[in-house]
Amino acid sequence: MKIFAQDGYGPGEKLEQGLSDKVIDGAVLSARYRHPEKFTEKADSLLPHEGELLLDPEFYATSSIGKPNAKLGSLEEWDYFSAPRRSTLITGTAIQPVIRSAFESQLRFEHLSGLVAPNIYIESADSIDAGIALNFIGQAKLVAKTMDVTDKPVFASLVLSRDVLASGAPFDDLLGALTALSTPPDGFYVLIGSGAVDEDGRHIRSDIYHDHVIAGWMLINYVLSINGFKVINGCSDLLSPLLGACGAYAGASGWASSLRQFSMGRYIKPAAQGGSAPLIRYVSNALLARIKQTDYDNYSSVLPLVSNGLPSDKYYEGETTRPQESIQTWAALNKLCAECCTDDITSDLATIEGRITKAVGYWSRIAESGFTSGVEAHYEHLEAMRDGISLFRKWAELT
Amino acid sequence: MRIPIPNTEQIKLLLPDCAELSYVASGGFKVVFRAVNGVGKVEAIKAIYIPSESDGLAPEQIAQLVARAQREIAALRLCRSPSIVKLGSLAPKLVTLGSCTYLIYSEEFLPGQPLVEGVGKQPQPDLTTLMAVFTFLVDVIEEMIRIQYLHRDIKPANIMVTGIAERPYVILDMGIAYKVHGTELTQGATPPGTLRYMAPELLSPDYKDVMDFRCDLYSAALSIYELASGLHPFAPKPENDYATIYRIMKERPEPLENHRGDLPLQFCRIIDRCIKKNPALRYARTDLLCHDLQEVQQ
Repeated sequence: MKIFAQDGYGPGEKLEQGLSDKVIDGAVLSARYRHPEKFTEKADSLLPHEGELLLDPEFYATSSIGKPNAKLGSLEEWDYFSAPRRSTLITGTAIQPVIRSAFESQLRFEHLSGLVAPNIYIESADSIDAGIALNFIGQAKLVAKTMDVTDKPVFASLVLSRDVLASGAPFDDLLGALTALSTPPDGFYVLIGSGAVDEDGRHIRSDIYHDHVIAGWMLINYVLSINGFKVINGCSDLLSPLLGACGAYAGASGWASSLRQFSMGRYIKPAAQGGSAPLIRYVSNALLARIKQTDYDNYSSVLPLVSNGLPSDKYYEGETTRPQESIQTWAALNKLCAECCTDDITSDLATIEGRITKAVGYWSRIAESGFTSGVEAHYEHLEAMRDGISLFRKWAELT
Repeated sequence: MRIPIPNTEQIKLLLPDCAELSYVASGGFKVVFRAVNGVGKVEAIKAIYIPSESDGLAPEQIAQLVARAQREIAALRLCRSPSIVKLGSLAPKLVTLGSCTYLIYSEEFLPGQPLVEGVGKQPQPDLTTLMAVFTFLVDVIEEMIRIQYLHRDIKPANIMVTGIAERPYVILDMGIAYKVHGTELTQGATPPGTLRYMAPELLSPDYKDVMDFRCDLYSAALSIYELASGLHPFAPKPENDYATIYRIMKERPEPLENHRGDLPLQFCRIIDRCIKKNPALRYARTDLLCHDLQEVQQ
């Protein structure tokens, strides 16, 4: 399984370094944070490094156009980024022109290794929006063919609310429809949106770390991959190995919490502004968690295997910078996925379950050593992962 | 209801060019005769009884029956695959025999016996036979996709084992074929078909919204499972329909490898995948299925 960088605000040289250090295999660039005029410049700087580059057109954010608190960045500078009248989306007349325009924008940059088709956000599996989104997906490859694009794979965007994954029969029907398209894309770019935010406007992690959501996300990857599609998961972060075990082609993570957990709320200014900068964290593969740097120091003293034993660990010996934190995250995910994703779903799921059990044990030892703060939340996330795997097995009818 | 079966003398009068006319079988509203046509070719003469209101059927039910027969003939006309039974020389026509009306037409007459007669018999079919039957069924499904129909009644009883080298297997009976973009013929919440081979999604109230070729794929793979193991995973013994429905909807079948450890695991897994309850877990493209079957052969 490949690990991609999820591009966002303030990239600096993180992508270049990630590619150069070979801790990422590519990047999902953000149209919101990349002005079309300056895009070539960025793509050029990434070119010397081997890696797959995609551009998320973020068309789903058009639902925020015109809102007084919208936070759309450079999106409105892109030609395709305007909201068609809803009636033209329902009748389908606007869909091909939007896809064509988004593809034309991407084709200006020859460095992109594939085309990501635009789509809207699906809040509910049996809604009109789901029908519109399916139409976008069904038309993507068709439009690429009419534009004679044959040298780049076409990825359809599949942007779903976490509630869709837990909706039962409508979700199954959606999967049935996705796999039965007459002109299917080559792959999918999947984003799962959380809804809940805390009083500071931060996403609540348990919104995604929920057994039904995890199982549903795994099922999407499984169903699509067994039917020959490449699946790239945006903002999948620590869930990447679970998705990789189910056949995902790639998972992605970034340097901000909004790049590790997707939400449509990112396109809206939070009510509360300001606040302190997020603390530097360390991804511990043994704990299957992202822990604060101070905790990393404390836990390592009682449990040395909290460290991943990777070259990027050296960044945490002194003052750690944001770019270094990103490199450490990607390096850790890369190692974790390499160990857990071997194209044998039965053994991979068993491996991950084994790691979850071990992680629970490690957290117990940490708690017994007197470091109890926040441990309960980690237990809950691990429990959600374990239950998610179990539920996935049931939904995927695996024996 | 029991349908009136026309006698061979009545049919002979209708079809004076036919010789050696004999009764073969009847089922549902259909009666089948064997005959040699005017150019010496053996054909199956099919007479579909068209009931009247005196049979206790509502006018719309009668209209549905006629439309279904016409749809079957229309579908057969479109088929080009040798895996599907061909129409014969007698074009469909409505005839009155005594006080009864029939729609009469002919199909080619296929020698041999239905596959169902081999189910549960020893020796169990080997991989070569199972692959041949499954490949044939995939060909049928691809043809159905091409003509935009669903067969909806694939089962061992509808597969003829002909003994002809070029066409060892032929599928019969498109009587309940579903036209993908056609007018709905079935009223009510349950589709027609043979319950034991019906895909789970066909048992849901909104089956018309979700059914596609994967329900034929399910029935095809279930037929192979039954042929290979000698057991029907959801109706192992005679029981009431409710029990069968429960099993189809809820029970996970035993992996085929548990019954046939001698078969390649990869083949067993292909069959197991095609009979998953959630259609999204089955093969969504026949080319992927064919690719996996080729790998088994290699």
